[in-house]
Amino acid sequence: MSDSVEHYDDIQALVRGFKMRWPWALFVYTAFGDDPARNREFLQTLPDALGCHGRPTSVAELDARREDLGFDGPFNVAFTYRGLSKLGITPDILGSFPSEFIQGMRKRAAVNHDYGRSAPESWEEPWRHGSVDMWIGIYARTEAARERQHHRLTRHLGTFGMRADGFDLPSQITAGDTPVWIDDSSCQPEPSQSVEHFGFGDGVSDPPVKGLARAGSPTNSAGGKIDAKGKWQPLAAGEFLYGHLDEIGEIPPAPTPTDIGHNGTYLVLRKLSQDVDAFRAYVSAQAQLHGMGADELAARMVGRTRNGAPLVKPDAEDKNDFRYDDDAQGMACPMGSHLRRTNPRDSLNFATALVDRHRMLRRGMPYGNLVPRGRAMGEINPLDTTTGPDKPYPGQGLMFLALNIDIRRQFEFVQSQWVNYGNDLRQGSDRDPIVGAHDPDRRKHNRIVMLTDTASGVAVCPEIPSFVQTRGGDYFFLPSLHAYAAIAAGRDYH
Amino acid sequence: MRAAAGQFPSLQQPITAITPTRPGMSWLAWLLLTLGRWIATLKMVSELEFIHFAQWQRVRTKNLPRLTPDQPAEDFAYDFFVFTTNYNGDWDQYIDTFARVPHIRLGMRLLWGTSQGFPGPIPLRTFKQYIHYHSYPETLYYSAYPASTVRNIEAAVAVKAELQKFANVSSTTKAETPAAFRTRHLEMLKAIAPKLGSAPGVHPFTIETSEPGEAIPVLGRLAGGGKTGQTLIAAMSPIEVKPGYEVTNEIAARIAAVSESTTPSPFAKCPMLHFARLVVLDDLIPKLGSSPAASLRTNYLLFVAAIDGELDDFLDCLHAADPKFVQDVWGRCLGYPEDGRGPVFLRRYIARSLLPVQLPYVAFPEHTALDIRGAVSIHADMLDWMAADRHSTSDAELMAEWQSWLDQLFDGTRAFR
Repeated sequence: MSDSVEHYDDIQALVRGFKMRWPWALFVYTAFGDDPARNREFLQTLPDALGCHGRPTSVAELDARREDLGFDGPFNVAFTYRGLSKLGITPDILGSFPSEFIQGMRKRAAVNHDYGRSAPESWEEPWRHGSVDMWIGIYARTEAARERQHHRLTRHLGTFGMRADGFDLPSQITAGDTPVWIDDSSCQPEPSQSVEHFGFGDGVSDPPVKGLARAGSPTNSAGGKIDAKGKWQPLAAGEFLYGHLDEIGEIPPAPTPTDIGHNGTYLVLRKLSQDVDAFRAYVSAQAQLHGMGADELAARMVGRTRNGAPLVKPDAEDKNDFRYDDDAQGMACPMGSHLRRTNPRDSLNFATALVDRHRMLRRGMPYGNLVPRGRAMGEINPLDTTTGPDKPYPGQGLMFLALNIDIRRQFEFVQSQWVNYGNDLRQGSDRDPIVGAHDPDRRKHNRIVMLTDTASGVAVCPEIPSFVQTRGGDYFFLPSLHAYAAIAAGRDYH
Repeated sequence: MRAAAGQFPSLQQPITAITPTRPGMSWLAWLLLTLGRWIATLKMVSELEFIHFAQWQRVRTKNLPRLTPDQPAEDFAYDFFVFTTNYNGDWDQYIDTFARVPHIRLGMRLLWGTSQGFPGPIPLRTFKQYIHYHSYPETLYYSAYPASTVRNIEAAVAVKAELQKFANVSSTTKAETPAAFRTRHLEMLKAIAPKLGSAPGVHPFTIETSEPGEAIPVLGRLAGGGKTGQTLIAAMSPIEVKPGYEVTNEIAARIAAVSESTTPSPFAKCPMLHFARLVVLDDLIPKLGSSPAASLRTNYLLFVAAIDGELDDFLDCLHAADPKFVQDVWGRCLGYPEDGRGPVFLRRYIARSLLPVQLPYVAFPEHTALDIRGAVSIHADMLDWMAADRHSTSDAELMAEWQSWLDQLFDGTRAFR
């Protein structure tokens, strides 16, 4: 038993991540039919495609295999609890999955602060009624390739009498020459910087995992955990994959038989819409009030510059290699900023010991087009009320994807304790200024207090609106390839 | 075992865990608890910053209060290790992190190492199971500031101190110019800025003083500069000799009714009280497994409280607040004088039921319950004051506005001392 990822070829590609290598993604949400055997038959046609995202011995080999299969890039599959139960898996095994996964994201709305306009009743289909059984995530090199695969998959589903209940087309977007700054053109991110819709570099601080090398820097553990000697170390694989030792040297309790979980994990998928207009308007108004630049204020709320550099170390070569030990009061990076809340690093007591068990691998991707400054988001990504299952809902936002082994201890903890509550970071009941669920009925807590170097020394930004809304999502089990094969074949667990 | 969904952010949760000590190890438990304060156990607790109070006690079975001659002596084979505490947040999730901090892990090993069946702090799973298994549901839990976390209080107390410092300078500085005032005021705001996270404030369901017209004798004494420093007490009163359960169940129902009622409990009328809990222990033994003498012979009522000043003052106050409750609960326990209707009987009875306190911890030993509630409410007012936009307010206006606001803070219960 090890705390390091070993059987690389058994793990779905999403765990490793793609970044800019396959920037065009297709997410298809499928509902199974009533016949488990028929559903499994469908799954049996996919392993060939799934197989191509094991660690390739060479890029050439991978390319060759992809050619043969007609799929351009990594292909991933995950199931909701409802989906697993429609595959004929024995109730005893189903019942051994953790309760929050069994309940699904809709029933966990209170924990995740999905209320008001983010409440499950106002989610988009297919999420509103929780009808999704399976998520298929295909990643492509080009937009055209994604289009081809979309057709191919639709046809393939059709031959099994199945159809997609909905789909999304997220992609990595770069700032390019689209101006995303508000009042300071020098804040425009580098053209090649991948950004989210508020115009900030995103997905920078993924934790390094033992045995799962960071692309291009296999020995770099910055942003992981801090050991007794004060050095960065990668996190144990058991925080993200079943069947491995975790950060306290235990094997996390897994569904039984443990084989079904081994090398598998949970995918938290959330469709989060971003209100770019409201964000820019609020930040501009507040900046004026406090005598700061709007881009500066926005950066302080986020905790990073638009280029993705941390405010505590703006000239850092590695944007993930920084600590808060010189900024205990939050002078450089406010204690309540999004960055500090979602990964406090050494802001809490005992180095990172109180943080390491609440980390996630984030695999999110934006959807919609970047809204240039001076334009309204409705012009760029118009909302079309006539949408149905055949086309994705418009607008802009983030397909939030996070991988963790204990949804409750990792995703839900961060969401409920750090994003929508502030006690650990001494922010009282204040919420995350960027992604917090700012309930208009609890205005008092919708604020951030920041120490600044302006004349007043302190800026209180009150009554922050909710810039981000949950539009849907669910908890998925992302099985290993061997477990997938066994489930598809109807052996071992049936 | 997992906590119910939708629980967080839960602000204060009690734990009452009673474990049996290993045969022959009871003396070691006693020794460790006696030495505990020198082996940094309490420092470790304070570093965690989510525990309001905690106490560990080794209880000798043969010394359990035996208050009537016909109450049989206990011959149970184990002594007990009683741990009572409260905390903010989610237990499961915070306990997760315990095992990652070496000296906390060591602390757990020392504290529970003498308990029968203790699996050690790792694997965490079995440790959690052990504590859950030996935990008893509180029949009543009271807190004077249930909506406040340790960090909320820490921030409130610090803000109050800064305001006090500021007010003191104001009152001793003659003829301060508005410009000088603004500069000084700004410095103060900078100093308190890190403490200004919003907080739920003072919980509306508790009251801090008695209803008007209701005489509670001890109030005057406390307000008049009574003793400071908190007292932690734990009393174990025998309720009924087994197999009797009738009185036990009735007492439990009576306490539960108060606990579930929406009107303030008698505890809420005692201004010197920080925390209190009542735990009816009628099933202590089944949890200890099978052994030759596998049963305590009596059901007990565990009463734990953290109070300002003297125990007797608190008991007087409790009795004055609701004599009927006292009569219905302790009045029906074994050894309570049948015609004992005054506070003096409660005092004497609790004194006879007391367990020795060994390792007490409180997060804010320097502050009375009223201090804390006052600071929490001042903190909330300060937030409201900060929320107003004063960018175009002139120095003179600011000075006047501030002074009148500050005057309101001196409204008696929350006053600076």
